[in-house]
Amino acid sequence: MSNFINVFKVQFLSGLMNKKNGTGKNGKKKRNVGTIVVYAIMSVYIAIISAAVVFASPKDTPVGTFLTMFATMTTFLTLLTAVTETKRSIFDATDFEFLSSLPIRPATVVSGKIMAIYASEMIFSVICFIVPAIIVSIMRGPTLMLWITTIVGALLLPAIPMVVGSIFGFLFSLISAKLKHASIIETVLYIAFFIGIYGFSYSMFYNMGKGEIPNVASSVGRLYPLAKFISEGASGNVISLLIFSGISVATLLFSFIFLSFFYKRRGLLAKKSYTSKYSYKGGKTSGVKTVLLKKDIGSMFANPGVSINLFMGIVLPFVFPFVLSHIGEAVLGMSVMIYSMVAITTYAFTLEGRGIELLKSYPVSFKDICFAKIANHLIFVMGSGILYCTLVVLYNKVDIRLVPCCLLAVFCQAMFNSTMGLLRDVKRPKLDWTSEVQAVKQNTGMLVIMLFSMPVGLLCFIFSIVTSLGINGEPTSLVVRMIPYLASAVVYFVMWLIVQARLNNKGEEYFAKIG
Amino acid sequence: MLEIRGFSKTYPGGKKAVDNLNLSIESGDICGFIGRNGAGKTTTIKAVCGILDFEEGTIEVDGKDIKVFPVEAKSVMAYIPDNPVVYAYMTGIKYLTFIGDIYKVPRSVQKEKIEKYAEMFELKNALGNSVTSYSHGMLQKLVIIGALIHEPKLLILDEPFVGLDPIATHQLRQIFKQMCEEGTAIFFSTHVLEVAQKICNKIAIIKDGRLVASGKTEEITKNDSLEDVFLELNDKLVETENE
Repeated sequence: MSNFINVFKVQFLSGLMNKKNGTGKNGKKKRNVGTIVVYAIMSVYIAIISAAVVFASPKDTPVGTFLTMFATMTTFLTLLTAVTETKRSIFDATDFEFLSSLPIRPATVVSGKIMAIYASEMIFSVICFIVPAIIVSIMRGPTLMLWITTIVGALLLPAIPMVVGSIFGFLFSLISAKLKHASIIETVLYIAFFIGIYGFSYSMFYNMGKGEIPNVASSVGRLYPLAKFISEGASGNVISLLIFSGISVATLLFSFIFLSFFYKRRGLLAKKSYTSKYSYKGGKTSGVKTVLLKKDIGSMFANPGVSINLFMGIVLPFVFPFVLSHIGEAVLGMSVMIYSMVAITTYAFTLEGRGIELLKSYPVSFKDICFAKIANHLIFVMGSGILYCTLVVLYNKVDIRLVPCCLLAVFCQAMFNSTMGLLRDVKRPKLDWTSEVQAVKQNTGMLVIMLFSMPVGLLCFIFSIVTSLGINGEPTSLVVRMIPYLASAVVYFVMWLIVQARLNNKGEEYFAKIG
Repeated sequence: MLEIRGFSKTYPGGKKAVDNLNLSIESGDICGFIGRNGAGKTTTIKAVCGILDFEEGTIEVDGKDIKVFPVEAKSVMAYIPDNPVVYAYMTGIKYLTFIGDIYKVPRSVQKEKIEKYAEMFELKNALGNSVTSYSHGMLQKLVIIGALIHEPKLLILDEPFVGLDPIATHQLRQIFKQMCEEGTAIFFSTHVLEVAQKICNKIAIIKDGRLVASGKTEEITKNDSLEDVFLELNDKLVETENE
């Protein structure tokens, strides 16, 4: 038992991985405060979304309907993280050799690892599930069964997505391991998987069309059939709640058998090694900025986990022109809101890992390093933005004259997001990760950036809807419809100036302290 | 070539890793930096390379202060860490081209140097492969080749012989000698005292962050082996501390 607890503790803490500069008591205190702040920010977002959903729904909507939605949302989000988490911690575990050399049974190792993943996913599900329940209780009145269902749901929800995610993760690794460009193929499989999940989810909304909350909930319920037991449980059906609990516990037990079986056969996932003859590229020596930029772009594609994180932000928006075609021109404004959630630079220094020491020994200035990292962000976001706008013009027939204004807003936002992400990451990089997935997924800087960037993007979207609808039934002029984009561009520009000034003043000092 | 004056480094939490270290290395010197684990060798090396920030003292490389003119100072030196971390998505050749471009070495010169050293270290056939397939020794060789491409005036190495096979160790020693004859200064930390005694014309011994001996190798060792001198010095200092 003590071995199990030790393995669990080590895995769980390394999973949370919130190592920052500073040691001793103060360092630990800072780490704890940082983690709590991040969870607090996440809770605030969820509370706002929940309040909006409850507010927008008819008064007679059963509370179980809300729980169905939140359970499905939590399950899908857990699935997205579980698929990479099981890969990092079990299939691609870098501590395998070390743990194998210890006098611990493999089953104990796997159990500790599974429980560590489960515990970290559970923190997430507790926030995603209990925060909305508090909001529902406040706005619609609390009931005993609502709270029993919420607590049971929060504790057991991660079981099924964890198992499903690990099966997919294992299959993707297995398929790609046998092929030449394993990493690229694995990335493609993961992206297809995520697009599949998102596309399927959105198509349900799209087919349902009307946008009323009970309809949304019933559609969502079809995505995740087990959610109906939660809905029924919240409405007082104890049997349904017991069925849900039984299925979840059985799945969790199955995960021990399944993951233990494959943990012992990890050799199947070893990537085939290929020998290639090298060819030397002649020509002109590239400039320092170009070399650094190429390096940063390359690192984005080095690991499926990193690529997925990137593509989730820049590829998935392309679902919206189709799903939200009924909102007309405002689908353009949607882009400003979507890209507010993208900031590749939040893990720019973190991703360097211990290799940052070599980077610091090269004759390159901090400005050149920043330039490359910001340019990397701009290339992906603006590339995606231009394609998005083209799609919106062609498919949604949006006035092409609005496009430059929208792209200007996206550009200013990208400057702000990337600079702020860089500033945050250079101040507190987490270099001691065991896999790139860990470095990217557990970097919480994005939440902080969203705190500043998303409200502006959201307002731009809302005002683009308002101006596109017209005033007093009269269509608004082009200039008026341009205002949301231009105004948000100005706001983002001012925000960027402030953050850039801070980076100029403090960035080099922070960078010097890394290592 | 390397001038360290009054260098001290205190880590957050108050631990003084290096205390008032003074050291001078001229062009053509091979200086071995010796000390026990945690003595302050890596801290000093990292500070010299501009990796680690420090508050007290000055470090000049080729007359350029590493804190004031970091890019200029770094452009004439090369650093080889004890545990090389190379970008995992790169192939060997891509890494070497990356380094060559960073140091602004013309591509034709890069090609010539890469072929020469890759041949020497028997790494040529592996240059097209991803670095993830490299062993520790191969990675070490790759980073060494990367460090030699731009013909640095100062070569800094942290435990360079760890992980190298006997032939590669021999070749590296030969390269060291040749580079010093051409005027390059070499500063490296090591626990292999035999090698240090054989190839270094200067030795610096550090204990608990303080430089306890430095100078020409023959002046320090006299007729003894470096190992005996090091152990004796260590014992003496322990006795002094106990008193």
